[in-house]
Amino acid sequence: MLRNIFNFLSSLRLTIVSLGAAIVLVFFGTIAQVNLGGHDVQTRFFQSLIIMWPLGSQGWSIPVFPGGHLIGAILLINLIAAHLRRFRWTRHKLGIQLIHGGLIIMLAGGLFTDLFATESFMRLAPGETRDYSEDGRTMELAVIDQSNNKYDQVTSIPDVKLKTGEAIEHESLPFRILVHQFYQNSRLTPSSKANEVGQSPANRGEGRLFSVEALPHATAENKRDSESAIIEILPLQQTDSKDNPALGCWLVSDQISQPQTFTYGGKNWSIALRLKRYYMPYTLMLQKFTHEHFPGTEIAKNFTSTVTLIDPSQKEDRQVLIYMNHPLRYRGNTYFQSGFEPDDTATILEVVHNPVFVAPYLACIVIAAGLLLQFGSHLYTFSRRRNLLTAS
Amino acid sequence: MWYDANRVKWRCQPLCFALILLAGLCAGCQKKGEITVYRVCKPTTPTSEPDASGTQINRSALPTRALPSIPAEESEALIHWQTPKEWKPSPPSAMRYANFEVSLEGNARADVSVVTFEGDGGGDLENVNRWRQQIGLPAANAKELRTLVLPIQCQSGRILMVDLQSPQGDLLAGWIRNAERCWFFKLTASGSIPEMEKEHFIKFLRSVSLRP
Repeated sequence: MLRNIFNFLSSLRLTIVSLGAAIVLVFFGTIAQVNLGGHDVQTRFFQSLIIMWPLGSQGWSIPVFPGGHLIGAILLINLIAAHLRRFRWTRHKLGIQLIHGGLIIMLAGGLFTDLFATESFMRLAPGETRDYSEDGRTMELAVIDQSNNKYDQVTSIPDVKLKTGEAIEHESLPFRILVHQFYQNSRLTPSSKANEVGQSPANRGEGRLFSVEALPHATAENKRDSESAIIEILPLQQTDSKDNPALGCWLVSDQISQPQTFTYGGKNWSIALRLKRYYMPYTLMLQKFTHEHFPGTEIAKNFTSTVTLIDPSQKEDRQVLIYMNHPLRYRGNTYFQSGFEPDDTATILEVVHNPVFVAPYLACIVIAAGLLLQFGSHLYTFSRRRNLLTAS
Repeated sequence: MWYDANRVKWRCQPLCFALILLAGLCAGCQKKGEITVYRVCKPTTPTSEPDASGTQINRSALPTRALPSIPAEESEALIHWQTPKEWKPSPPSAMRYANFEVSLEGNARADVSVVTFEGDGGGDLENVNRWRQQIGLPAANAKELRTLVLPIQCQSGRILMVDLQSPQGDLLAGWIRNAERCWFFKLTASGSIPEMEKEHFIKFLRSVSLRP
């Protein structure tokens, strides 16, 4: 039984079927980008174990095809199993072993990158200091306890939790948050009579001045959804409602980028639906940004950011020049010069945190060494035979 | 035996590797969608100075993004304008794309704000009545609106302007729409607005140029 399983996992047939499935996945994933957009396809097709297809508007979905993670994992297991089954520790096979080892590192590195790497962006105007970067798409409902003089305690609720009808409770919050309505994509418009016409049930904070309109999911590559939600802040228990009454309905939206504030349980709080933030234990300050064009054109020739890196814990206080293909690597993060705001008023740095960033480099070196060894040994054997034949 | 005992030692290493990989996969799957709690130092006042040139403000360059946010992917300047040198830029508030402070006679101050929304930004009558309500004036009807609105030619077409006066303070407001969004420009003061400042405001409106 065990042997049959092992034979199946190490079979060439499984390799062919997996590679075939990968081709089908890439083909349909490419076609699906027309309607779903690149980001959705990447998440649903390639960064999933199973592709689930929604059925109607009832929230039901059915599995239709293995996702990229599953196919990748099967290929990886297949490669390792084949390696185990056919492994022969001989000098002549060393090249093949290295090539396989390199492929395993590459596949595993890809999987780990998918799971653990993050990409975010830091916008800095000249003179501005920041200790966080923002995700390009993923949003969070940040509930901030501002009562401490030295720090703010942030409870970050991922947007996937903001489902209509969902009640959110957490040990760090002395209240619960009831999501009345969640808008995946929305537009806010000012309305003095928003409450009367019932378009915005928000009755507290800045949001009460707006009506919110649901929009279709943005699929274009250069657009993202603008999320909004109508939430109600309620006491944890009914008995608590005497001391801390319900705080009404709030409209939170990434279009309201300044936090909305309130007091609860004697503490000052603020809430904001915003792009997910990644904080660092150090700061970057933009000293200077330069942007050179090719003469007579608007084509970018070079753009550079001079930043000051300040990290008291590491006693770092130095200037760094970041420009194209010359990123700053510091404490696991890599800062690439990614872009700039119109009229060069701010620089945009892409911040990549990838714990396994060495995997592709290592894999390439190992595979190259394996190929050199394998073909080199063949060449050596061939030329030696030829010399012997010539000599005889 | 289906395995070769001599090669067990070599096989254990990739097997352990595969197990670690699967553990990582599971850990990665659990990571998403969880509520997290963290502490951050109190935000300090931004060290950057607002654009002092007075010629153009780009919201994305400001220390904090104003409301409503413009998608970060939009890479071209959405609007250009010329401001009088007397107007001092100030950081935007929650609602505003840009802010200016204007010093009037004595210690009086006026406030200029620029707000933008995607879409048409609501009806003209509703917007004008909201401003009238802010300075304690009764709501106007559609017929009265026609007499209140003054068209001003700017670089990108016609801006509509109203000049509202009340004992609570004066308010000048202009608005213009293009295919994507609506822009509102507003000058408010707690008292009356001097004619010179009205001229400045109208000159500012004339300089407005929207991205095509």
